[in-house]
Amino acid sequence: MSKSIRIRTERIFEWVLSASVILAGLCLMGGCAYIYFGHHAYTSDLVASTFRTVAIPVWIAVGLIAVGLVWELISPADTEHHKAPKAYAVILSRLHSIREKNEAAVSTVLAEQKRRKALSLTRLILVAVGLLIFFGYAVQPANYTDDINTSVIRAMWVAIPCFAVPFAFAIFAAYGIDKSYQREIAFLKTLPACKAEEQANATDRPRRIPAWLPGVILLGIAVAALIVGAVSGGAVPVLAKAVKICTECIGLG
Amino acid sequence: MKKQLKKWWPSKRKLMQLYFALLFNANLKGFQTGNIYEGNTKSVCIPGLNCYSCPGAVGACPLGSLQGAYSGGHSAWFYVGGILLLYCVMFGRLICGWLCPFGLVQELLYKIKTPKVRKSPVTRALSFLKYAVLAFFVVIVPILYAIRDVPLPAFCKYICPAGTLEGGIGLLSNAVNDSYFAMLGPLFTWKFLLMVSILVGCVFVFRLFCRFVCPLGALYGLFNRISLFGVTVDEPKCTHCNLCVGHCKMDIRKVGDAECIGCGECVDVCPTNAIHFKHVKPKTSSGDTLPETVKGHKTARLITRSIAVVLMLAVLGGAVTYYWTADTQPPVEQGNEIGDRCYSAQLNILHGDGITEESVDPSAEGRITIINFWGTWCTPCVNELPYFDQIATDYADSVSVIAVHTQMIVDTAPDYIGKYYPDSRITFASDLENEGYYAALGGRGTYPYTVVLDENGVIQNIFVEALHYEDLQQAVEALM
Repeated sequence: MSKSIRIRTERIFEWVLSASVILAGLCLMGGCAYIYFGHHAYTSDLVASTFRTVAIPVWIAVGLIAVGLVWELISPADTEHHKAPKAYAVILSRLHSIREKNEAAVSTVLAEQKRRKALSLTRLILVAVGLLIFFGYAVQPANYTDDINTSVIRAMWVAIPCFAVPFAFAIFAAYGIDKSYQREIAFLKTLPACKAEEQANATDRPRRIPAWLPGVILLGIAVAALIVGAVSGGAVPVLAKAVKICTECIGLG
Repeated sequence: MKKQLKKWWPSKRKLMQLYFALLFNANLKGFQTGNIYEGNTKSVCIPGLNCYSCPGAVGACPLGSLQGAYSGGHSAWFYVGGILLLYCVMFGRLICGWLCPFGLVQELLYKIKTPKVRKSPVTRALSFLKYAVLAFFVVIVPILYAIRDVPLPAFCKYICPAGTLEGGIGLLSNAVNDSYFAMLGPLFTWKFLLMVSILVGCVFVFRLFCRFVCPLGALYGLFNRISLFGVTVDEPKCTHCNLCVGHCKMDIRKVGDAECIGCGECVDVCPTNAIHFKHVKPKTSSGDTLPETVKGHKTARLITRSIAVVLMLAVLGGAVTYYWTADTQPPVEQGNEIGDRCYSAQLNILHGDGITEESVDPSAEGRITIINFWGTWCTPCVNELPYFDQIATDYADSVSVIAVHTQMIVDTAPDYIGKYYPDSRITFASDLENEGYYAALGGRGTYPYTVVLDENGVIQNIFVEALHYEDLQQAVEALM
């Protein structure tokens, strides 16, 4: 089989497998939803019969997965090619060092840097405001009643507008910053190159604190806390919880 | 041919993931009996996400233990906090890449041959969601409810797919646990839908749960830069080509940052060999490790590795054998069924002042008796106690209610009783050693557990789920 036909076949197979996996997932979710939203009681017989009716798409997906795995094993090993994302800061620092500086260049470069800073700052402010509003609500004990489920669901509804706006802006800002970098680089490339200057090697600032020190200090604190906790019987509540089936944790209510 | 063979053989990291997944779930007998392990090793938190209600689990889940520690007293805070801090400082997110069983599940699902969703500014932004999950579900909500003496593992209850998959599906798939189906309701529906969504998503998005939701990964990531083990970059050698960032499937900005799981796949990609594991000799430019001038170093390394492999296999084999033969399950052969005369036992009575010398025999009352097994650490138990209190008050002339606290951490009960039920008509008692009375009446690990006896001490009802006032009233009225 020629390489192009093999690749095309693989692409088609991948899409078919995607569709079958999604369909299998939807069938499983549909089966569960049918039992609950159909106001039926969960019993082992009902669960078994419901999932027997949706077994076909699930088994098809499983079969296709098995075929895919075998195909992957027997097909020739491809050499992976990795595309490196642009390290804009590094590219810019190199360009800055060898381009002739003039007024227009400086003002253009500064404008792009201001644009990036404005986007970053706006993103930070929106995130901070969203966090303040949400956690301002979340840390108030009065918002949590004896009806735990309702309290948590209400908090989630508060979270959605608080975080959706900063999230959407963060996506916009990321693309905006990317575009700004590209514009700046494209502009710098149009400038005449002057005699290459010695780019000062960025030497690491001498560390005042050794790199290993924070880790060692925290390690000492951890060991001390563990010993204090173990000696004072802290393991008993952990064991008491762990040896009982946590019905809430596994969805049994 | 060598590349083809490499495809067939799992990588070292995959083998380590499989090894630790087996080691942390070495109680294989649990899958056969449908019971969870109840031995002392469960007081130790394992580093990865592994639900302790999984039939195979031999250790405690760090997140579940952390949420439980809020209502466990200062000693529990120190103990769990110390363990978590130890893991954070020693390994950081290396745990996610090498030790976490649920991480292994996600990576295996990702291997399914489908088009994949690549990382982008969207995924990068979504990676901050896990910090919000950590702050809200693991810290704020459990603490706010713990202050009110209501233990609530919010993350485990509302989100954790590992619990649903390993614990829920693991237990329900065994026929001996058919009675658990009666407990399924809206919570199970929500968790099942969430679990399936996450697992299907993992097929298309690399480690979807790890990157966007897992609060344990968020916690470990905060310590990634200072952890003693992990992946690091040799700055003088680094040319900032960013091939490592491009190759990595996680949302890293730099190797070793908070998103890095220390998988080490970037080590071979770096053209200048600037990336290496901490405390491991970096490769030279020729691709080999630093030249070994002493003959026999290779042999010594081979012998060391062989010994390490044999030791690891011995530990795993020993663990599986130990847990298979360990006798830590409750004596279920003593369990009673409906229609049987209830076993008698002398249980110490609890007051708000403490554990007294007085005792009560639940089977010898001569009245309709409701025996409720509960614990201060159990949210459904403390939520349903008011209904038992109400029943004890409304039917004081004909019904006795005996609330039996687990013998383990029974010292937390008197304060709770003194604070919330000082004048209650419920008789509070302590279970026998090793939850003996609970096991004798057929309890198999789930709390709350309620047994209703008629006036002759014969068992008429057994409930394995949390009850409301109407359920109790119905049971009592049927016997009157």
